[in-house]
Amino acid sequence: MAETKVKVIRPRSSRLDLGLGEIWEYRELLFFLVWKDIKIRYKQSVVGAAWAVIQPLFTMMIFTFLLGNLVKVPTDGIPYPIFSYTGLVLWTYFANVVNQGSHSLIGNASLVTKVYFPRALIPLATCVAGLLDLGIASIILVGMMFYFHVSLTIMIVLFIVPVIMIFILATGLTFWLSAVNVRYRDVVFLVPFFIQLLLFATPVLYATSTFPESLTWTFYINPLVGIMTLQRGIWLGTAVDWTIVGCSVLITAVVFIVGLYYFRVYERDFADVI
Amino acid sequence: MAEPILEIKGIGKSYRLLHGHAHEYKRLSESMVSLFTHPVQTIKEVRKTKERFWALRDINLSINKGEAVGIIGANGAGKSTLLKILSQVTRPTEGEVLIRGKVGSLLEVGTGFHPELTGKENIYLNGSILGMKRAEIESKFDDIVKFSEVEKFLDTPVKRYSSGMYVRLAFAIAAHLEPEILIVDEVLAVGDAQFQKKCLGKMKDVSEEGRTVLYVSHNMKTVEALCDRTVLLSQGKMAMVGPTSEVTQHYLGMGGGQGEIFRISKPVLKWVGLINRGELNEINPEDDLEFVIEMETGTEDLHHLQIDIYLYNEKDIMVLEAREKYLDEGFDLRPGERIRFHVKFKSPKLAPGRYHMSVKVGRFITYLWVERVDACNVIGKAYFGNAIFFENVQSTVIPEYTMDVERVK
Repeated sequence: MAETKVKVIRPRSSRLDLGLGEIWEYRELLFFLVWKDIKIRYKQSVVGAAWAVIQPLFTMMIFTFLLGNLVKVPTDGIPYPIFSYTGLVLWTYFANVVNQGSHSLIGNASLVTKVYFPRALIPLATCVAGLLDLGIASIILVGMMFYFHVSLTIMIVLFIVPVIMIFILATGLTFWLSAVNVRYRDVVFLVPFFIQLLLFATPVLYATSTFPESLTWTFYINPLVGIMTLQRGIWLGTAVDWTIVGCSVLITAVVFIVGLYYFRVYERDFADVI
Repeated sequence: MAEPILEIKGIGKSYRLLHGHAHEYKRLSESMVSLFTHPVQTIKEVRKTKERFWALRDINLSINKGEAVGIIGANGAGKSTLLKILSQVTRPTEGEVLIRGKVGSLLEVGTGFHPELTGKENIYLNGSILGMKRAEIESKFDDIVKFSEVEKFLDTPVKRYSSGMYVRLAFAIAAHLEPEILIVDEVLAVGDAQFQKKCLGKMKDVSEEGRTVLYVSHNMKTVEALCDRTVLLSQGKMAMVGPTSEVTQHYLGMGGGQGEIFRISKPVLKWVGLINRGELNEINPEDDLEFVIEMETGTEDLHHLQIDIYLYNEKDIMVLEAREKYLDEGFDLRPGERIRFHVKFKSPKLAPGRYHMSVKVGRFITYLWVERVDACNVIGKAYFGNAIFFENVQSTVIPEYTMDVERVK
């Protein structure tokens, strides 16, 4: 008889890995969880897919009026609507996913207490499902490029890079927030506030050049800044500060690893606490 | 001999005893505020919560391939905790478990079902949550649908299903899991009696195919029908392991039946059973309901006792009661005596469903009070005198009735 693999259940496993291999093993379940997320959202809302576009589009219109027309924020010579929409596409994804993701474990408490699978799949599914909306919103961006006669540069081949970066950043944060939220239930109330603050600290609705000189050091520690400048560089051909992008890549990776690590440490107690 | 497929070595699980908290989780704001306002107390509090309560301790058990093992015990005895550890939902505090095979666990029927999704969509979602591969679900899809008997409603969101359909679909998916070790917790407690029988049959097939089954239930009849060996848990410890009939007899002797004993000093309830019925205690609504209750005395003479019997439905609503009149002499129990009560409700016409009973013996002092003993399954569609059948009965009893129309003007 062939030697079957022996699984050992112990109080604490001696080594702690990030469990990426196990996530890969369960990729089919991830697919179904993502599929469920998307399906339900589109079943429950009348506007369905349009919702993916409405949110960044309306935000863009409001800020075009406020900042573009009233305040006249300098945008390095690019029409304000497309300038802000380029950033808002990513921002909307980030804000939605982090917000929903931090509730995800609590919302799926019955799964956590009744079946075994890598729990990381739950917040991960939220982050993957959000990519569909991001994709739809990006199609509108292409349309706007034509409308505002913005010519594409060779940089466009990199368009997927900021998407990957924001996905990894949002996922890392979501791992951490969803796990903290199992322990401290009021953390979810802080999340929207924190995201709101980030919006103002990040050049989404304004150009990096308008930021006060004394605070530009924050560009190196706020990973969203690098992602936004890269996104604008790719779509609108604005100058890219590669040092900031480099810092962003580094911090994004750290956030992801620390977030997942924290998640893994507390994962084993979820079923007892939730 | 081959190595056991499942080895449980000294498993224990403890929980922190929490003072003043209803939940394990906290609020960050509370923790912060209390740290600032009462720093000393908060730190003391943290130390205090180190007190532990052992939900399960010193569990040792080896299970061989192809065995079907029952786990019984009162509520809170640690049955579910044990299953949760074995299915890796929660981790043990001490000890270890060695598993030599793929585990499929069913701690709840319909885990992850989403009300908005259709029956078909839920088959895929739930199947993959339970650990099936997509190709596996596809190949078993027709069997699952057939077993569940919901063919016509596959494209209907499950929120519009009746509870019976919901359970049938959910169990059908789970029944088609093919793990080497199947862990099942009390899932048969739901659904109508006929479907329960079907599920039990399916689980029997599973174990006869050479797969290993671990089955937790309050229903002694199903444990006896399915399991060769049974473990009795009591207050987190293994009280007894052995052939199923011995263990269940012992458990019923303890006054267990289904659940809690509030006071068991002198008499011991030996056995409660229906007369002349099959293994599932089934009767039709119009049948007479006849019970035999047997009890044994301890070391003391007890005089002028009365026995009260209450029958409850699944919603814990008392539907029938039988008791002796309080002014009568009652009965006596002498040491070493064994006494049998025959109770007969004439054609009670109960609605289909599962019933459990409580037995109380005493007079001014209650000597014995056993709750939640499995009584009977009333099966079949509700039958009415005028030959109308109803599939879903909402009422607790279904007496024959007539209804006439009269034109008054």
